[in-house]
Amino acid sequence: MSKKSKIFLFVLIILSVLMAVFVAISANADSQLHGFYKVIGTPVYYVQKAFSSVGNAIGQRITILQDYKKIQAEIDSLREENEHLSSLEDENARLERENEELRALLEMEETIRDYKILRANVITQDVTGWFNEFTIDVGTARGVQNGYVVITSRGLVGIVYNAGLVSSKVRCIIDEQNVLMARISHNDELVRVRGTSNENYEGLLRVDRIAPDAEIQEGDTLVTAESGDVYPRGLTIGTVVRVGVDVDGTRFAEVEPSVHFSTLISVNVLLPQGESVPQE
Amino acid sequence: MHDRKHVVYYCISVLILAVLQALLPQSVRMLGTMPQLLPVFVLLIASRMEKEEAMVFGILSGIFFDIVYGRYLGFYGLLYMFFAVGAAMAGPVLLREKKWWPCVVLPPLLFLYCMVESFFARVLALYASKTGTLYAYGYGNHLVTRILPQTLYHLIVLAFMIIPVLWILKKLEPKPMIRYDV
Repeated sequence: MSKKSKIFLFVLIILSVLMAVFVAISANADSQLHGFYKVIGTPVYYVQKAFSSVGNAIGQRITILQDYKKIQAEIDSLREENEHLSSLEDENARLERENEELRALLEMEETIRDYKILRANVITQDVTGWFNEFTIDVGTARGVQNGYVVITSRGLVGIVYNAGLVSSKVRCIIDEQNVLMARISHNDELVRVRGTSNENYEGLLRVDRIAPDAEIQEGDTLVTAESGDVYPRGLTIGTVVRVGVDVDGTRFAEVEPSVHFSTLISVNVLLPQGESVPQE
Repeated sequence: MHDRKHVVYYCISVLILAVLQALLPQSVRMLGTMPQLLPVFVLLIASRMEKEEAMVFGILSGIFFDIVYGRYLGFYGLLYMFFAVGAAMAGPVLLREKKWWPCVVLPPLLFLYCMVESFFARVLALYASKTGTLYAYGYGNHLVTRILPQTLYHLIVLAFMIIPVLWILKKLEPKPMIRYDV
């Protein structure tokens, strides 16, 4: 073996060991290596956000073009319908919608009354298909810290696990690393919910630790339970789609999350009430 | 490829491609997978590099991908480095400097890349979650639902990328000196 080949092999081995050490260290949730993202990730964020805005605009235009005929037909239909409606019925429909929105806001307000809401845009989604996470355009500069909960009006989305200066990475609840306690909404039974392998792109959650006498069936809604001050109580997680029995005789259930993660455009980060929200 | 400053140009191209990845809408998903521009580009360029250049190019590309899209720093750095070196070594050994060797070398290499990537991604997921099974529905299901569709999409991206990239590489090659024999 020539001297050049020996040097090449030596460098290759050193780099491989170094990368393997980095992977092992960064796999630890409390790793100091995550600070590396704050240094490198901050300038990348601005470019990402610009391209994300362009990408969203292009995506919206593509959607509009694809649905053009359908939208045109719907518009014609709605115009005809609108001519036949009386002004009183329109006003009534408007008031009903307002009433529903106010009720939804009131319920959300009670659930998250100990938190402030910080709106954030999703700037990148996972492209590898292996990590159920995405990046948002707020970071420690706006008061976001690791461990903060992320929600939408439909329910629980995930948790911030790597907060940079101007952007943060959020791990979705369907990720295998996520475990949380939940309650069945109609009978308050406590169960454990964890993310599952996304090998088949199902994006389902698995419920275990179901008490033998607990009632759980398809269609039940799960909400977050009090669990070590991580998640606020009462946030919607999802709906039970299947109940089964494991090989060891214990029951399990599969839950479809209430949030569609692949179509997320904006989310809300919950900041504890004591924290001030620095302005942009 | 003997002019090593081109490695800088390729690294800049990687930065652009990594961010352009964000432009792709979710509607381009096929069989659940998204097209990935970076691994195809890295292997395509590396197949025409010396192995030392490919090693540097691979590790820098991979680390940048880890920062922008990855979860574990070093995961794609390691993966891209080895496969870039593999692409650089496989071409000349097998096909002796033919221009079209990426078409023959890269498809099996991309398939192997998908297999290795999926295996180590699952191992890391098990290590981080401390529970679960490596392949929840068996390796056969994993192959059909994840590896083969991802490989297919890589090949589609390669088909779009190969001609313009090879054309640009040809333009960047230094022109031979003209000798006037007296």
